[in-house]
Amino acid sequence: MLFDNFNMALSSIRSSRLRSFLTLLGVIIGVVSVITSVSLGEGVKRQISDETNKFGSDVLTVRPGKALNKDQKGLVVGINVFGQASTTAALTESDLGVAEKTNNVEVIAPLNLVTGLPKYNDRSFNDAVIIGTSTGFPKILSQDIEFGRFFDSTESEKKVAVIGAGVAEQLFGENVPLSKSFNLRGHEFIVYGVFERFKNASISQGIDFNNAIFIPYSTAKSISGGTAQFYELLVKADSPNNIDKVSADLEKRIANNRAGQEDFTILRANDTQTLTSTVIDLITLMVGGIAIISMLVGGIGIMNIMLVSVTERTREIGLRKAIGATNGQIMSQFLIEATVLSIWGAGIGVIISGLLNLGIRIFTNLQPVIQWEVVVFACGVSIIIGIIFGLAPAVKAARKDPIDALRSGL
Amino acid sequence: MSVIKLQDVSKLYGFGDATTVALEDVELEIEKGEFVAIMGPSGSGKSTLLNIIGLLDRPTAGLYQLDGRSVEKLRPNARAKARRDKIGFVFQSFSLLPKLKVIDNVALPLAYKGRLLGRRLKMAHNMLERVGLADRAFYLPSQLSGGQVQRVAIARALINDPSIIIADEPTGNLDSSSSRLVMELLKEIHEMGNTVLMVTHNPELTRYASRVLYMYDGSIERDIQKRIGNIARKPKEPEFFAPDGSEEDTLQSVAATMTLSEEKEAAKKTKPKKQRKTKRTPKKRVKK
Ligand SMILES: Nc1ncnc2c1ncn2[C@@H]1O[C@H](COP(=O)(O)OP(=O)(O)OP(=O)(O)O)[C@@H](O)[C@H]1O
Ligand SMILES: [Mg+2]
Repeated sequence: MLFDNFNMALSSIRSSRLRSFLTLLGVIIGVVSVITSVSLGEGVKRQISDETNKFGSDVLTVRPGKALNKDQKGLVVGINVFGQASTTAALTESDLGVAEKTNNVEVIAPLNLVTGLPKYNDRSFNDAVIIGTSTGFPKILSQDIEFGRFFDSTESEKKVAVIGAGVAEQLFGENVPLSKSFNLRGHEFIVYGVFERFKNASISQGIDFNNAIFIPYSTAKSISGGTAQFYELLVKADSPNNIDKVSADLEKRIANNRAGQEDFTILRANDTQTLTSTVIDLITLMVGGIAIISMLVGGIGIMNIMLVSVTERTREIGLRKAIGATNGQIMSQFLIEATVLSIWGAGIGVIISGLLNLGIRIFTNLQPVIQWEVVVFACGVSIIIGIIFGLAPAVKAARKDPIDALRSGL
Repeated sequence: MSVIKLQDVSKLYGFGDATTVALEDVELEIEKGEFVAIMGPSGSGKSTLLNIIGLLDRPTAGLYQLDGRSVEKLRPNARAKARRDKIGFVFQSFSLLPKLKVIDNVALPLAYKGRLLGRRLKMAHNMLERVGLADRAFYLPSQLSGGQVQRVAIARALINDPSIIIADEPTGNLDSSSSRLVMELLKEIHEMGNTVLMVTHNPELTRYASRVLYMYDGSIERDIQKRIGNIARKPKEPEFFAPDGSEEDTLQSVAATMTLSEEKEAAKKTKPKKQRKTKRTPKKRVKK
């Protein structure tokens, strides 16, 4: 009998496809947003943790602006979600200078963004990011150069560049454009090396290193009008054990240098992770909440269509009762129908989520991760909602008086 | 033991001044194997009587025994099960579920009984064979003619081997030839020992019945045993409402009409019953 009810439910859903689909939109949107938001959040978290792990536990990141509130022990106690990075002054060369004098620092790489469109013959590459940095950069990132080499300290004033794999393909149209030259802001730069492809596209600052052109920061300074403004300093300690010491020392020195103003933040690998994880969790929670509301609305939709269906099928109910259906059998028929409806909704939602996930992976550098627990949870919730909201119509159907139902004009 | 036994059964609708008496003190016994046809003008309470006998409706007053067991105290689910097991319905229209295939329609009562799918389909197939529609088993009701639909409905009514088949104007929507096919089927079923109770407006169809009830204004006015194959003559109305005659008068007038009918034997048989029936006062008529 269960099986028959199931089949009947399917056929009655099929017979009014459009109506069923519209009814299910709430459930579908709910399932899609739960799955997509959680998997996006999870994917971004993993990407960031991969990226920061790549930095290693002996690397500190200094950024302008106060992003984190920490207590005396250095634990993060608060986050400024809307950071004032834009209103605070960038890090300067003199900040770099004092940072370099800090004890137990092995190497520092400043990062400095330069605007400009690189041109090679007739080609140009709009998505290119030009970063001024120092010779220590590949070491801090533990990133190998695939072809050629990185510029050394004797070349810090020269117009030389090391490029990401994306730039090689997009700007030069070949994999190994060594010693070719391109034009940037009217200056000719020579390609010294090509980075191995960065596995995890850096997204923390919205920059994909595969599309980056790295030039010495002094050169960057001279072609962009004399001052160097760093958006980040990467500081590698000589040993992971000294990281606390270096962090404290660095903080004191830079604060001193900036006239006592603590308008900068020193992050450790796991701090960056905490920061982004907390923000992502918050966003996931918000979207998840909206999704649950959407599912509830979907449940009301199911209740509505089932009530309509019970009214439309009053004669059917009467006939079924006349030939011996008990109240329980009528009720289970309509309850199963509501449940099947919500299972459909969940199924369609899962499929759309899968496609969306694929689309995001193809068209952005985000890599959402669909976890089966989330899929099960979303489907479970929508099915439970189907049952709960299907209950009232099912009871209404079961309680119909057989003779009144048979007489109904429908 | 009678299959159906009604004692003083009444059904009222509404209350106060708006009260309608759909059935008034109906006494009726139907024995196993009878083919009873009910006739009477529209609104005389035929369907109401059938619905009460079919356990779809409850009487306002009176006693009802089905298969020797009193059904007043049955709860809705027990009534549903009694309908499933003891009663087979054939309605005038919308007899089948439009979304189910013919065979599934026939098997539906078995499904509600909890029979397994394989057995259900086998029994339903046998039943369809009996009504001559085995080749239409996998059609949808919308692909059948009106007469075929009613024959499928009869197959379904029979599937649980019920104590009584109840048919409310089963041929009401059919032309005369499909109507004949359906009636021949009911006749066959009756000949196999089933009890049939049928409402009809067509006097021709009383030919198939072994007994004819005439209803008027919520009461059974006449109850005639007759031979199958003959058509019962429709009684002329005035005979019921002869102005205040003695019992003898009434009896005579009844006897007179009976002699007119081709059914002299039957008239004799019914005489004693008619005596009781004709006791009604004409007052009620005035009331209406
Ligand atoms: N649900 C109801 N509410 C009020 N009155 C009703 C209801 N059902 C039936 N009646 C009344 O009961 C009386 C008998 O109705 P019933 O349907 O039994 O007549 P019938 O003999 O079957 O007529 P027909 O030949 O037209 O089918 C009618 O006067 C009708 O108006
Ligand atoms: Mg009727």
